[in-house]
Amino acid sequence: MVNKTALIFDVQRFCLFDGEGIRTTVFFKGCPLRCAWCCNPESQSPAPELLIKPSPACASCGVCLSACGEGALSLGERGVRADLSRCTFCGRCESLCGFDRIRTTGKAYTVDEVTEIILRDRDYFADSRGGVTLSGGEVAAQADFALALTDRLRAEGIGVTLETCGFAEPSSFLRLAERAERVYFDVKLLDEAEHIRYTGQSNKLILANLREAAKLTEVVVRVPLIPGVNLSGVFAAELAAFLAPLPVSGIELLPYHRLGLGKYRELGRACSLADTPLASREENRAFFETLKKQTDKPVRFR
Amino acid sequence: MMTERIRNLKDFICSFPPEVFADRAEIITDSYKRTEGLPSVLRRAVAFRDILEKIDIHIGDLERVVGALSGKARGCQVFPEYDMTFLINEMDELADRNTDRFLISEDTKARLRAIYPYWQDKTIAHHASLRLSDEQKDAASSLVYILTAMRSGVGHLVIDYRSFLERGILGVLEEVKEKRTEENAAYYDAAEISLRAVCAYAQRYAALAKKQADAEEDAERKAELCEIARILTKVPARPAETFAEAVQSFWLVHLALHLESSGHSMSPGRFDRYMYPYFKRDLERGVPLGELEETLHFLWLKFFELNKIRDKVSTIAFGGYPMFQNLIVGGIDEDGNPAENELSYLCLAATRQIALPQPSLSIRWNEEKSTKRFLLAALDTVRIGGGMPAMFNDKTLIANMRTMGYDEKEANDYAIVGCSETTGNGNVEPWLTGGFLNVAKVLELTLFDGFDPVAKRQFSFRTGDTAEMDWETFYAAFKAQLAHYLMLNIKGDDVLDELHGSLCPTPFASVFIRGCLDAGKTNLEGGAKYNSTTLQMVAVPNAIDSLRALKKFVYDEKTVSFRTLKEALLSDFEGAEYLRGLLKYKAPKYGNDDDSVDLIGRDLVDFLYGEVEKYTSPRGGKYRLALYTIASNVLFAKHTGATPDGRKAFDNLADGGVSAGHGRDRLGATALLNSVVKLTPTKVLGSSLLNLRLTPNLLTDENKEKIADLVRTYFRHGGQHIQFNVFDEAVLRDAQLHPEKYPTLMVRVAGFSVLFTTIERALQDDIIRRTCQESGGIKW
Repeated sequence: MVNKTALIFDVQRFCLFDGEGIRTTVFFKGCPLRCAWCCNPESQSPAPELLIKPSPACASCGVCLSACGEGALSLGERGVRADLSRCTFCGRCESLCGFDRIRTTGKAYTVDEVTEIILRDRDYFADSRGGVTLSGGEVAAQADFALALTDRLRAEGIGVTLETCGFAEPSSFLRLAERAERVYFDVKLLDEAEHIRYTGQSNKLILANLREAAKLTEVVVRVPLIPGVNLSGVFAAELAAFLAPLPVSGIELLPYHRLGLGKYRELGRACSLADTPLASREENRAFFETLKKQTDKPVRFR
Repeated sequence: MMTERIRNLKDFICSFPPEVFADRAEIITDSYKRTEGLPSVLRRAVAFRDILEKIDIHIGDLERVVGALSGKARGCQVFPEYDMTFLINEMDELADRNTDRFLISEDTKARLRAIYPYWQDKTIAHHASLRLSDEQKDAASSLVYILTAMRSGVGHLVIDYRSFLERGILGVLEEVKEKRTEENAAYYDAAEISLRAVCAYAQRYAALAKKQADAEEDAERKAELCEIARILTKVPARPAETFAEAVQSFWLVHLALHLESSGHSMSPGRFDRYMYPYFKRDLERGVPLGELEETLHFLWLKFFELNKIRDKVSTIAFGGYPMFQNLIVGGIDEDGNPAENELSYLCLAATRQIALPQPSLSIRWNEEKSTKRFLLAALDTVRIGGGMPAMFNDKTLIANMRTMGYDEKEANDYAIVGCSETTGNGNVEPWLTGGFLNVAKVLELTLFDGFDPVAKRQFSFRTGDTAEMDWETFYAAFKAQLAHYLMLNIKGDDVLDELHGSLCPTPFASVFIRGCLDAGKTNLEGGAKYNSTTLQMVAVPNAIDSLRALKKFVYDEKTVSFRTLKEALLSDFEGAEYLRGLLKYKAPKYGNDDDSVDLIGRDLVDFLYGEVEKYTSPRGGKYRLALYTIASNVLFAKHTGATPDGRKAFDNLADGGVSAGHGRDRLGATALLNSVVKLTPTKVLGSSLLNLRLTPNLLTDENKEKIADLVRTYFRHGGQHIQFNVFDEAVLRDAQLHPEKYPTLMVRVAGFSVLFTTIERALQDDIIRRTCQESGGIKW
């Protein structure tokens, strides 16, 4: 029985940086990993949440407080705060905030609803050889829905690309990977203990899924470069060695950035990497060069 | 490649502000005094001849293509026959006004003041003011509309350049003689006088070149001046044979058009079609490509050098010295064959390299016949950030030409005038200057039952107290107001149309408009084979958004009373910031592919189309609907109070024409484009103009092709036009603070590009505040 809906936190149109052509990217909410550097913290929890701009953006006018029938909102020093345990995600606060400072993140969509948005750009996909990117969060955490959506889009002649952290139950994950034209597969750390330390999970399942997925479809490995975590020559060498026997088509490096910090604040959460310094261009470049010397696969920055 | 010499000439031209000269004004005054009582068309021809005989001419040291409006580079002339009052009133401020600064000497001022009394009761502006009703004038002063042909010539033509290039002016003169009728003898005499005057004008330049050659010591320059003299002895009187001759012939006639009348938007049209034979022949004869390219670059600098002076108010709506010389390349030829050629690519490259706002370069894209390479080359030019070329869609525009009655070949051969106006090639008086109607202002008048809260003026046309109305009644009242002011604008333009025809016909230009020589009258008197007039609707997106927000809160959800809304609007949301936020953020907005708002837009466009098409101009052509703003949105914004889309009083109104309100289109470029094509591009026969701003990282080598594909799909969906602004906001902000660092920073306004630092602050801000499309849409 296919889940009728999936929890999705964004459907972005006109995406130019996640594969071929012009694409629409569907962001699934909920992720089994808790990467310390995550730039989409709203993607982690598999439940709806509220994003609230702190004051002074929030005028602390109190309209949302009186609109809320559950008493889930309160006024603090930095504006409105939410008690999610009381929130029913009815959307009243969002619709009544005249300053557009509060939004629900994570809404249930049916396959039809997502498809309807996607199809609005189908001619743009056709002319640019683009399509749909399923991203997250972890898509495979809502695998039944993702499979249904993928099949539906394929029937419409629209190709699907998958972005994944790889931590997923193998059978449905691989069915999903098999249907994708390309999989962008994150590899963060190869040392299991380190992986557990920074993401909360072992990487055994991830690496096993990677090996299998690469047999089924085109896989591009994506590596976030995090200073003090994996931005080292040692890791570059390990990675090159690990990927050597795998038929992956390329490696993309994603330098660490802090663009997600605002979202942590909007969720009322702290970011454990907030104080991590950004790597210099030269440090990122050095990683790139080291890796390039040791692998025959195309390496590029994204 | 851009040569050192071209770079030096460019630097020279850009190094000083243009200057106003009085010689044309004096010559035409003397001439008019001598010809009183003669038919207008003859007076115009005699004055044109006198001007070309006596006006100061000059040849700059570095020039190889010659001909200028005055005795100095970048000078501009005065056209007292249209209006002089503004210049007399504003002449002391010209050198340091906010935008479009001009130098003017005390001597020039005195000379202009001396002739002013003669013109006071003779200008177009004077006669218009006698004939326009009080209501028409009040509506204009409330900025419900702008009548654009009040103070300047009509312009807005693509003449048949091929005729004189191939036959020479003397060849054209033969046709004038053949077609002469006694009934219209005055017209044919005027045509002949004008044509001979231009031949004589060329001889003056030839003589000057010869004189300079005689005095020149540098052997190379001496030879060059002799060659200039040789060419001008030959063209435009006789057919051009080489590319250099064709370019010089083209330029002298194009220049002369600008001395006959002060109308801007004299557009070269399909330059890569009529110039190509000369270019190709030269290449085959072994002329080095570099030499041909440099000739083209000399011409590009000439386009930039042309200028006109506008009154202060007009510089807000048309700021940045724009001349709108639209030059279009690519597309298909008359018979439907691909038209792009090597010269098309050289034109794209010329604009990329010279990077000045004139000519207004455009391309035609033909889904079946254009190559993707051509589109990518166009995007390479877009990428430098100047907003050129604008891109036009053959599919829709050829269909629209057929709807307007052009035959198949004429439709295939369409060109663009000025910003983005679809026109026939050398066969039409398109009068693309019928007026700009401020649709947001009309909505304001509807809301307040004919009262203008900004000017505190009650208009007589009333549609009732809106507080008592249901949605249907309110919407009908808005349409009634629109129909009324559209009629008022058109009737006002009809007055100007008749005045230009009767007082300031253009016999010289008319010779190159098919139909005039057969009809025995000028294009401004209805002589052209085709006639039309366009009426431009401005701030339609704001009106659409306002209607949608009003419908949601006042009628559907009934959470805001009409009275509360009107009070908030009158007080500019004073103490009602919350309501303003709801209107702004919580109602759907045009530009996001949402039918609940876009279809209001479609209905409005369909309505406007039906209304505009009811009218016929004095020349016998239909009025046509257009959706483009130039920068009138900036002027209108200063006179339009708060609107129900959550816009504060005097804040920006939507730019472009079919671009969404600033910052309102948030779901990415595809969503915007889907909204745009819902506004029935096949009914907007005049032009529908879209500004799209992109972050520079969307036009990298890697992404360029995706943007090309974006354009292709948009055009497949029927979009008429698109043009891009690609700039880094920080650069523009810095240029506002340190203009001296950015003398040649170029941006796109609407259908034209400008040097950023030459336009006024409000327009600069308008450009900066336009939505910048990013990958994935605008982040919250």
